[in-house]
Formats: sequence, C-alpha cells, structure tokens
Amino acid sequence: FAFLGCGFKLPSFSSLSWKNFPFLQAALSFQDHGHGLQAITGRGGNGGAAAHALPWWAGAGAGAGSQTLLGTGGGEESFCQLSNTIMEDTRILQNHHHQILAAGRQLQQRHHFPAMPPERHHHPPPPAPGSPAMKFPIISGDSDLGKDLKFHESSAPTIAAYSPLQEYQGHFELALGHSMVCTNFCNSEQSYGVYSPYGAQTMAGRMLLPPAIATDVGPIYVNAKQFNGIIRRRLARAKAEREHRVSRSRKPYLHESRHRHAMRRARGSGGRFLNTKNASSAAAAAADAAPVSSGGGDHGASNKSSSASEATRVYDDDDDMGAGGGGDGGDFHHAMGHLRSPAFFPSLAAMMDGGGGGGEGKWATATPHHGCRVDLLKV
Amino acid sequence: MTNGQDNLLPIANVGRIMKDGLPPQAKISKRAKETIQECATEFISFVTGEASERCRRERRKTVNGDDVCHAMRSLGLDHYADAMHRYLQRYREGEELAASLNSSSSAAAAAAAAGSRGGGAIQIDVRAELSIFRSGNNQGRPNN
Repeated sequence: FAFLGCGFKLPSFSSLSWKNFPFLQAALSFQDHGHGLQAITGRGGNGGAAAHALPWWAGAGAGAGSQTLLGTGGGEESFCQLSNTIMEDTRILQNHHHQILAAGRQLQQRHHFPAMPPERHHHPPPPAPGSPAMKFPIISGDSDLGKDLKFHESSAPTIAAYSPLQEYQGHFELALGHSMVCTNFCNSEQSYGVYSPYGAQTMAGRMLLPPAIATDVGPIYVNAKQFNGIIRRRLARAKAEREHRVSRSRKPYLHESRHRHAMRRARGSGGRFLNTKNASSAAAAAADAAPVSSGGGDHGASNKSSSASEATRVYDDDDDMGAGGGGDGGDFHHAMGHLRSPAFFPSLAAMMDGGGGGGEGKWATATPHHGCRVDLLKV
Repeated sequence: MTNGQDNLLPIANVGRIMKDGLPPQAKISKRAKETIQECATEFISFVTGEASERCRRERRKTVNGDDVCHAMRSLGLDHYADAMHRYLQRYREGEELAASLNSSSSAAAAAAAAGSRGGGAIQIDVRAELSIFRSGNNQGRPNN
C-alpha cells in the first residue's frame, strides 16, 4: 500500500497542472508509471525470471522518458508516431487489426488499440530511446479524446482500492509472459494520469464501465472480475447486429406450416380451440363458428383442453394461464400473444353472445355497448 | 438462419421453469417470459464467452465442463461455480457407471437389465443438485 499511497499523491499534483500544461501531465504520468512498475516488481518477487527482467525495463523507461519529453517539439510529431504505431499494430497483430476494422474504431477498440503496440514492441529487446517514444503518442492521443479519458478512469478505482485483485492480475499476467506485464503497466500509467481530474470514487471490487453508445445513462460500476467479459460481450453483440444475425423484432410464430394448421382448426365461442372430448357441443359450436371463420377469421386464446393428441397438445399453452402443455406450445404461443390485442373485443363480444358457452369468469365482464360488439363481430 | 429467435432458448421451457418458482395460482405475462428468455440467453453467452476466451489463450479447441466452472469462478460467480462443480462430478459418476455396466454385460437379458438400471443411475435431479442452498432446500423436486 505504500507504493499505491505514493501514487495517490502525484495525481493530485498533476490535477493542478493538467488544465494548463498537458505535457507536464505526461511527464508526471511517466513518473507514475515508474511507481506502478516498482509496486508490481515488489509483488512479483516470487518469480525469478520476471523479477530479473523488470528492473531492466524500469531503468530503461525512467531513463529515456525525460529525453523523449525534451526531444518532442509539437503535436505533429506525436501524430506521426501515432501513425507509425498504427502501422506497426497492423503488421504485428493481424487478428486484432481485423477486429479493429470490424468494430469501426469504437470506444472499447480505441482503448485496446493503444495498449497493444508496447506489448508487442517490448517483447523483443527494443532500443532504449524507442520504447518511450512509442509510449508518448498513447498519452497525447488519450488526452485529445475526452471519452478515452473517461475510459481510462475506469481502472483507477480498481488499482487504488482493490490491491488483492491487482496482485491476482499481476500474478496471472506474470505467468503468461513479459508482454502482458507491459500491458498492465500501460493501463496503470494511464489510469494514474487521469485519476484526479475526474475525481473518481473508490469502491471495493467495483470498476467503472464505459458508457455504451446507445444508452444515455450515467457511469455504471460493475464487478471488476466481470469487466472484461462485459466488454467482450458488447463487441460480440455489436458484431452480431452488424451481420444481421440478431433481429430486434419478434415474429408472431416460428413455423409457417404450424401457423396455417392452427388457423384451419375449428374454434368455439370465445375464439378458443374446440375440445375433442366435448363431441356433443362440437357440432353446435362448429355451426356457430362457420360464419366467423368465413368472415375473416376470429383469433382467440389457446384452448385449455388436456387432450393427449399431438395436434391439440402443441397449442395448449395459454399466454397468461398457469396450465402447461407440451414443449412445442411456445411456437403458437407467439401467434396467440401477438394477435390477442386486436382480437380482444371481438372475442369478448362472441363470449357475451354465447352466454354460458365458455364458462370463464375472466370474460364475464359487463360490456356497456353490447350492440357495437355485435357489429364488429359481423364485419 | 436469418431468424433471430433461433439463437434464443425455447420460450415454453423458460415459462415452465419460471412457473416452478411461483405459487400455483400465479400468472406470467408474455413480456416477462421474453425478458427472462433474453436474460438467460445473455447469461449463457457471457459465461461461455469467458470459457472460450480461456481456451483460446491456452490454444485449445474444445470447451469442456472444467472450463465452464473455471469461467464462473473467474467472473466472481462462486455459488454457481460450486453448484456446477457438484453437478459435473455427479454427471461423470453416472457416465462411468453406465460404461462399466455396458462392458460387464455379455448376455442379452443381462444387457437389457443393465440398460434399464444404467438409465436409472444416470438420471440426476438437476434442481436439487444445482441448488446453491443445499442444506436448507434439500427437498427433492420431480425432474420434468
């Protein structure tokens, strides 16, 4: 916690100069990067190879950082370096490049994009002045975009308040290799640099989720363990929508043949399917239903019969009733649910005309305009 | 297929599972079933995506049960991971029992008896096994 405490004080100082001098903030970010590096080195002491490699990287980063800052003249040079970073990323990470192009440079992709080049660049032995030069455009690029700053703010509460998770991530990434550790350093540096200006609150185990493009709600804090999974799922959903594999609208039925078969079935008073057990009432109800079907088809709720036949059981399930039939009832369930609203009043009128035919207390509501319903039914 | 509903769970089964957790006289609207249908599908994709990501990192192509348990644990869903681990152990015991019964039988009558007994042994009460409150809610429920 001592190193994290030191990291806390430096951002508060950078908040004063952040509004006036962006480059000075970049310099302080490099210093924060050094602090984060030392902290992770202390935690990863059990790994011999990792501990041996990290001090070399720390010395190189700290030594060459000031030289790069002194040598950098203006924003145009940083843009050139950013384009070089893009080209290098294109060469090294083919899959990630494809994903970036597919996503259309969205917010999440923009975050993943700057973090990857240092990872791959530092895996082979890099030149000492080269690595900070690659890192500096990331900071300038982040400062240009406000959304990126808001995104980088997300990891700050985790690093500040959730050190066990930090150790867990550090341990996991040290096991994978040196490149993953570099990625973690980049995230730490960026988070420390932008922590104080926005005054992010520290919550135990919570990570600030970047706001989605479609939603206009405020920042959402999620479980830090699920952060990467949620980002991955967002990208997968966006990709599915782009390929038109997921449609927002729901079809009233899934199978055309079953829909046509259900439309051909005889319906009694109230629009429900005729029960095969009531043979005596079937003939009378069929005669009553014949003009209705010829008129245009009256659609009602599913029949609640408990018949064992396959054809009847498929459409047994009612939308709001508790009685359940076969597994395939959901297919026609959509049809009845979709067509229920326009057919509500004709069904009610037919029920009132039928009298004791349905016997449902649900449909026994008194209707003031009785004649109007009859006209709708006849049309 | 271009139909988006093919990627969702069957809504009749979702409604039946929702009904099991409610009193007998309760009613469920169609919109509620659709919402739970989408939530359950998204949860499955969420856990499966985490398991698939781990397989991709380890250069493996087959996602097995241990990957799903590990994914639930890495996502912070410890209760789900414990229940899934118990179910996975019981499922594997049933598989081994069925395999041993099939290999030991040689006569036709013995094979028929082993088949029926193996089918009974493999049958697992899913809800009781997956319950996260095993001590309190230990009553057996018929598996439909």
